[in-house]
Amino acid sequence: MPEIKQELICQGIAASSGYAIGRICFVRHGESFYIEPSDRTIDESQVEVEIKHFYASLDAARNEILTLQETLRSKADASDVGIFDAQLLITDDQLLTREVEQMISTMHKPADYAFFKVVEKFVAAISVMPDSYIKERTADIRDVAARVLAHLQHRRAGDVQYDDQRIILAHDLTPSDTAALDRHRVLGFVVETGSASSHTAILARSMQLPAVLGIPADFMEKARDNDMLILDGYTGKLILHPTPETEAEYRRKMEETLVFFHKLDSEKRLSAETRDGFVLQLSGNIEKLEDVDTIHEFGGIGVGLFRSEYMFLNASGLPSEEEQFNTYVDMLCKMGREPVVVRTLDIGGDKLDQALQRYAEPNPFLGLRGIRFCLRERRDVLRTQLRALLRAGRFGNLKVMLPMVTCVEEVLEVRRLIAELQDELYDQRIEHALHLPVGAMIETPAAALLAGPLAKVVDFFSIGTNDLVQYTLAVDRTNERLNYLYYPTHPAVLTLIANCINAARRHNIWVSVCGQIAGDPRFTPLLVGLGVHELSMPPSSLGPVRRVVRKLQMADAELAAMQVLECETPEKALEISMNMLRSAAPEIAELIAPE
Amino acid sequence: MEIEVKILNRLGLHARPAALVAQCAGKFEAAVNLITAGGSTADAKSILSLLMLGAPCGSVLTLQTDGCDAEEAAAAVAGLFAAKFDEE
Repeated sequence: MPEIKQELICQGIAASSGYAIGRICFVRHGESFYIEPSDRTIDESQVEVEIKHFYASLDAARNEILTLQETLRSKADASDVGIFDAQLLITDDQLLTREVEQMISTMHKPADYAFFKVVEKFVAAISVMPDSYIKERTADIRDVAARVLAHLQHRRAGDVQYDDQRIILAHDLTPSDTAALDRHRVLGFVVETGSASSHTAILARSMQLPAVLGIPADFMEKARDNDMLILDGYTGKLILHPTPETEAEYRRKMEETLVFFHKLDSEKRLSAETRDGFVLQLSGNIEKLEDVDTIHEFGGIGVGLFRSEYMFLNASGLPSEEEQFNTYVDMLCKMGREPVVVRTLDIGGDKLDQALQRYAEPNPFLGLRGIRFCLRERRDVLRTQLRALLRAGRFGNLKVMLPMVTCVEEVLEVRRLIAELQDELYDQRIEHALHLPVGAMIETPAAALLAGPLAKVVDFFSIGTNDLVQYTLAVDRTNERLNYLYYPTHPAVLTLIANCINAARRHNIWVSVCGQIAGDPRFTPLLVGLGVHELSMPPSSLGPVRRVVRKLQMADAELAAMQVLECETPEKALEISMNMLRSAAPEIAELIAPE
Repeated sequence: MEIEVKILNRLGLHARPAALVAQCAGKFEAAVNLITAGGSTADAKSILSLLMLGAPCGSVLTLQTDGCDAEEAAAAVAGLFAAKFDEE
């Protein structure tokens, strides 16, 4: 008699969004590579051979990781590939290699055993750390160790074996296992261990593979190879042996999301225009020259914020005028006629300052930050940067933005410096831009309150909401315990933002928002309604935000913005913006905050 | 030379930041050490050594460099901390 299987539902942690419906492929070998090798003693004559074998295995593992990293680079976004940088460093770690070598040569242990023992010693030391996030990283160490061990024992960390498209089920899936999965044969994966912050989860997201982690062991025990499973990566729900009705329901949901994302991507050439014809510029925030291309990949226009400090943080010395000039020109050439906004060196309340020979400050966030530091402490650095910008300005639509402005005089001082440098360049017969637009970053309450007078001396505003929230609400944004007070929709913050936008429009200057809220669809209706010209965000946020803009009616958004400004609590203000999002673009609302 | 650095990224000195620090410190001749308030010392060129510090967000470490390019090494490593390892 055929067994009738009951539908079995279980709740895990939603680690990577998407749906998958299919048969299970149970992967058991994940951990089997990494077991303690037998304890033997080797002959003195074998010591040298074993040490050589050890280094050769490290090399082999390193090459494997490099290849994986390369493969992944085409599938995932670059920052996640960085996980393997850590693994590469482990294969290079002298603390580790020295100790293994010593164990082989003095204790006459075989390389595999010595390596395993030393790795476990490190893992044990890291496992007692109170910080759970760091503790979780022992998985990475074991992952790379398993790879090395496979070579030490002449085995290869093989590919996952499966025939057609399957949902991978495993007790544990290492980042390497995850990366080795063939995107086209895997529908998604379910892992018993792990959390939303584990590397496997991060990788799954960037590979766009739906994933649910943290599954109860009893559910895993009931699942068998070839069983039907529905995986809901949006909510973390798993349904084993779904009834035909449930399956049909999920196939319909799947179809809908598929169509949706296809549309989102196909919309990237469309302008960010509201239904009633108000056009916004959606641009990208970037740190590195290499990131410029991703803005175009996601259909953005222009660089809304280039954080130039990255050039200063990476170089061992300060970047020369020539180096900076080249970077700016390269960026402008890639952007064509699209605007590129470069923020001058913005080093904030912390210790890099000492590297640039600064005194320690008792309260760095209220200290010589941003433009203050450049004007008072290191004018030479600002001069070099402005000269490079002036020279590069001839090659495209370049603008300069000043961080941490609190008064009109700061802007005027920079303008005088620019004029002085233009004269200098003219005398030296060096070609340069005759006009370099200067903007102010609005990130202090002072600047926001002073928006009127400031608007008369700058060419544009860019509202940096992260710091504006911090300074307005007196909430240190690096202090986790204050998270409950950090509200971008706090009425005080919104009043300042509105004041700024109004002043900009009154004086006919451009106003953009480049803080975190610019890339968060929850705030899009509100910002559009308040009347910003531009939203600058991480390139990957461009798709959803563009969709929201295209679904909005400017007239409705303006009305909502007016209501928001009347709100007495941050929650109420957010709710109005969310409601507008729900009615205009329910598909986006559903994705980021399903009810 | 000796300066103080603070861990500002939310997740602390986990694998990725530790990798950045080890990579960066490895570029210099100078010996680069990070010392916790409790006195544990890590060789900043060794990722495992850094991970064993288990330094969470908010902790202040002493960055100690010694050698011909000590100053550059200190500047570069401190820069990574200041930039929150590009995480937020």
